[in-house]
This record gives sequence, C-alpha cells and structure tokens, in this order.
Amino acid sequence: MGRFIVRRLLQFIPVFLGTTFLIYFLVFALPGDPIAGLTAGKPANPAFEAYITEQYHLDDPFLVQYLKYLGGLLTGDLGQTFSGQSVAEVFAERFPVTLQLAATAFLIEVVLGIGLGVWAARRRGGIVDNLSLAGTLIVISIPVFVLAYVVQYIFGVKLGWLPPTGIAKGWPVSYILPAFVLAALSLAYVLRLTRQSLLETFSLDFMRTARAKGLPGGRILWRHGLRNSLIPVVTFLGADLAALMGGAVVIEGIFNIPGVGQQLYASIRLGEAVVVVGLVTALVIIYLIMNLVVDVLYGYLDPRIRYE
Amino acid sequence: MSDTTPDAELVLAGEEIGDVPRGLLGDAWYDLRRSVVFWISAVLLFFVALMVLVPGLLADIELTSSLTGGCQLSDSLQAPSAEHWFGTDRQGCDVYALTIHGARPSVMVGVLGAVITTAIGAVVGLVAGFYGGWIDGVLSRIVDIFYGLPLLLGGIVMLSALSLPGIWGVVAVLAVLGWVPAARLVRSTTIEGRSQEYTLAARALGAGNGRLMFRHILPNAIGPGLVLAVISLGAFVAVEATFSFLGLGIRPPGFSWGTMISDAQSVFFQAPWTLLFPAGFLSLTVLAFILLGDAARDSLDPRRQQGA
Repeated sequence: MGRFIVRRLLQFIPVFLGTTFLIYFLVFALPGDPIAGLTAGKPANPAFEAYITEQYHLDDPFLVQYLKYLGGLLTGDLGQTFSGQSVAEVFAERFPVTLQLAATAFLIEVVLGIGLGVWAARRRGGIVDNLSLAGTLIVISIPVFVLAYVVQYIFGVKLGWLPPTGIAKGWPVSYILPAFVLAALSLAYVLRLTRQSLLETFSLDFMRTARAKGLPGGRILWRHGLRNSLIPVVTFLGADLAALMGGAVVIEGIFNIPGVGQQLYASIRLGEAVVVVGLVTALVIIYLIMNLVVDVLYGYLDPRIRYE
Repeated sequence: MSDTTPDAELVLAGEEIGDVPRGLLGDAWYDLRRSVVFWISAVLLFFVALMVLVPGLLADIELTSSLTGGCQLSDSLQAPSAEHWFGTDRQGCDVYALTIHGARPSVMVGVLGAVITTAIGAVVGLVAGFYGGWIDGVLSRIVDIFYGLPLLLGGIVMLSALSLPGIWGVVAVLAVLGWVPAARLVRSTTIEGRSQEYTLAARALGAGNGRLMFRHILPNAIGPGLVLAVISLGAFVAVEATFSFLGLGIRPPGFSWGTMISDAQSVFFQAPWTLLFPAGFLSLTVLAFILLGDAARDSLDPRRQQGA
C-alpha cells in the first residue's frame, strides 16, 4: 500500500506541472497579444499593461515566465483583482461556499443515483426503470443552465417552496435547488451506470450460486451484487468532481450563491481575465488534488488496482 | 443452376434465407431501420438540417436585426401571437426567426468540433497504441495532462485570453481540449487489434506500418468511434451554448441559441418564451444526437444483438 501511494504521488508531479503549464500556455503563448485579449479588446491603459507585464513576467523568455508563475503558484500568489485584493484571498473566502454546494450535490448524486439505479435494476422493465430511463435522457439533453432557470422558476418563483436565489436561509434549505441542478446530469449517469453494471453482475455465475445456496435476497444484492457492481460507478464519481467544479460557475451565477463560481461568472462578464485565470488555476489545482485522493482511496477499496 | 459460379450460388442461397453478408455498416443500417429510436432522431435531425442548411426558407433573416428594420423596439417582449409565433425579445426581434437562424452557428460548432476532435484523437490514439513503448508513454502522459484540465474551466481561460471571431473561438477550445476521449478509445482498440491474428498475418505478408494501421487496425474503431463522435456532437452543441451563455462564445452582432438564452435571462420571469423556445430547440437537437448515438451503439455492437 505504501509503495502504491508513493507511486501515485510521483505520478502526480508531472501532471501538476503539465496542467499548470497548459493553462499558462493557453493564455500567454497562443498567437495574438495576451494584453489585448485580457482587456477584452478595449484599449489597455499603460498602468494596466505594465501591471500585466510585471505580474506575468511578459518581458522574460517564455520558459522563464512559466517558472516564475509556477513559483508564484507554489507560494500561493495568484495575482490581484482590479480593486487590489489578492485573488488567493478572494478564493479562500469563497471556496467554503462552493465546497458546501458541491458536497451537497455529490450527496444527492450518490444517494439518489445509486438508490434509483438499484431499484431500476431490481425491477427491470418496471415503472421506476422506465421512468428513470426517460428522465435521465431528458436531463442529459437539457443544458444545465436551462434546467437551472426552469427549476428556479417553477420551485422558487411559481410554487415558492424553496428560496430561488441567495443563501440567506442557510444550509440545507438554500442549497437544495442549486445542488439538485448541479447534480442532475451526473445523477443521470450514476443511475444508468449503476443499473447497467448491476444487471451485468446479476447474470454472473456467482450470483446464481448465492441464490442457490439460499442466501436472503438483501444479502445477495448488497454483499454480492452491489459490491462488485460499484467499481465503474466509483470511477465515474471520482472523475465527476471536475464536472461539479465547472458546473458551479454557471449554477452559482444563476442562483446567486456567493462562491468561487459566482466570482468567476462576474469576472468573466466584467472582462477581468486576470482574475479568471487565477481562479481557474486554483480550481484546477484543487481538482487535481481531489483526483489524487480519489486514486489513493480507490487502491484502498479495490486491492486489485494496487498490484497492476 | 449449372451455369452459375459457386460464388453466385452462395449469394442466391444466402438471399433465400435472408442472411447475405452485409459488412459492418450494412449490418448496422439493417438494424437501424428497425429501431424506433433511430427514426425519432432521424425526424428531429431532418428539421435541424433544414434550419442549418436553408434557414431562409423557414424564416426571414431580416426579422433578426434592427439594422434592417426587422426589429421594432415598440414590439418589445410581446407574447406569442399569430404575427410572432414565438413572441418577441427585448429588442422587439421575432424569436421564431432568431431561433431558426440561430441553429447554424450552434450546430456548426458541434459538427466541426466532432470532426476535429475525432481526427486528432484517432491519430494520437493510433500512434500511441500501435508503437507502444516510450512513444505510448509520452503520449499517454500528455493525455493525462489534458485530462486534468476540465473542458469548461480550460475553455473559460482560453476564451478569456483569445479573441477569435464568431464560432472559431469555441471550435479552437474543442480542438485543443476535447480530443482526449477519442484518443483513449482509439488507443485501447488499437492495442487490442495490434495482436490479433489477422494483423500478424498481414505483417507476415509484408504489409507496412501505415497499411497495418489504416487498413487492419483503425477499422475496428469505426463503430465505437462513430458513436462517440455523434454523442460528442450533441455535447459540443451544448458546450457552445454554455460558452455563449457566459459571454465567451459568439458575441453580438452574431447570435446563436446560447446568446439568445443569455439575453433572455434578465427578462425570463416576465417573458419566459424568450428563453424557452431557443432552449427547447437546443435541447431537442442535443437529444436527437444522443438518441442517434444510442441507436448506432446498439446496432454497431455485435455482442448486444444476441442479448436484445
């Protein structure tokens, strides 16, 4: 196990370097004048130009630029907002809210997704199965921001069951609607994946053996069936953290949840690209670290992975 | 019968029992024609194609711009009526005409994105899988790095710095960040195909690497590759809408379903039709591609035919 963790940590280093390099490259080395891009085409004032040049070391050769930027990242320097606040501070202030939203969405996704998936697989062809297949298809084809407006309008405004915007009512009341919308797409995938994987396991020999031995149905399902079916689901859930991070930008903007996503949404609309780059970098780093944690946990849950 | 060649006899006998060898795509088509899901998606896609190819037949382009006198501010936010089937937006433009003419940029992004990402993914996956060794090692690490940057977040950074006109910014994002799934798919099929007997036989007969790759190995990936391309086409249409919604995709005076939804958000509660019509068309288009992908997957996968 120790060797496995060390190997995963070592593999993390090139991915971390590569991904941050990629972000930097996408912003500063593509053809075109980065300063013009960062000011959204407005004529840049000399002070801003000097600031960008200094902040991103644009006078240095490209590799030196990147190394200096990397040094900044490692010491927690993500640049400054237009009002002079440090981006790292803004991030630290707002991240707990995003984390809370993402965690709530993750909970909904896991509980409802796996629960309904198991139900649909056990009663294959039944009402729950057919309804959930149709429902997931609809959710997959409706873009998340459209779903957000529709849900906000129906449950927040028309029916008035839950607050349509803001987090004034605290957790969980204010978080239910946005978390549900954020979770919806992944929920659909988790449901389908659980159902399919469970159906495949049901047809295997050891399941028949378990039934022939006279084990109670619940034990067969949970110990024999689900444990062996959840591996692809866990893989998906790990990769899904990215979708939650990306989705939070749109959801927090629409539901006015004061997290990192809302700041990002506002900065995009204001054309504050420097802030955008800083916040996205921070989100991506957190995503990479979460992936690393999931990877290690995964080796713990499924011993076969360790001996690859 | 005595004057027919053995081959012709075989075909005749085959026709009698309805079992003529049809090849992969012929086989898939034979199956598809019997699939309800396929026909639903085909009908939807027919209308999408009409809107993309000949929007002028369905609605007058002049109704989409105030420069041509098509939009009157005095008509602002009118509910759907005989004159304006889908109502009017804040500028007084006809939502029906905007929706019809907004299809082309949205779908173009999807088509270009799917073609480009599939091509890049196929080349990377083929080279990595076929040569193996250090080439595969390097390419797989590069894939890992791109995998570490979520499409939405990476796209936000890239589009904030890059100012490409119209749909090209979003297409560039997809080309840079969207090819990873295709590369992974083609790599795994290539590794499988490389050690098949027919590949070894072809190599023994003196076939070169290029011939092996393109004649013997790549065709194995056509089925799953096609399915992935069709499904990502739908997803990319939604991605374009998301970026345009954030104000990073298509910018005025250009418009697409995404920009229409973005414009509609501030007036959604008083004039829901401004959002629901473009959102509905967008969702149905995405749905059509997902259904087509599902139907194609069922008929291209030989293993599924036995079970179904």
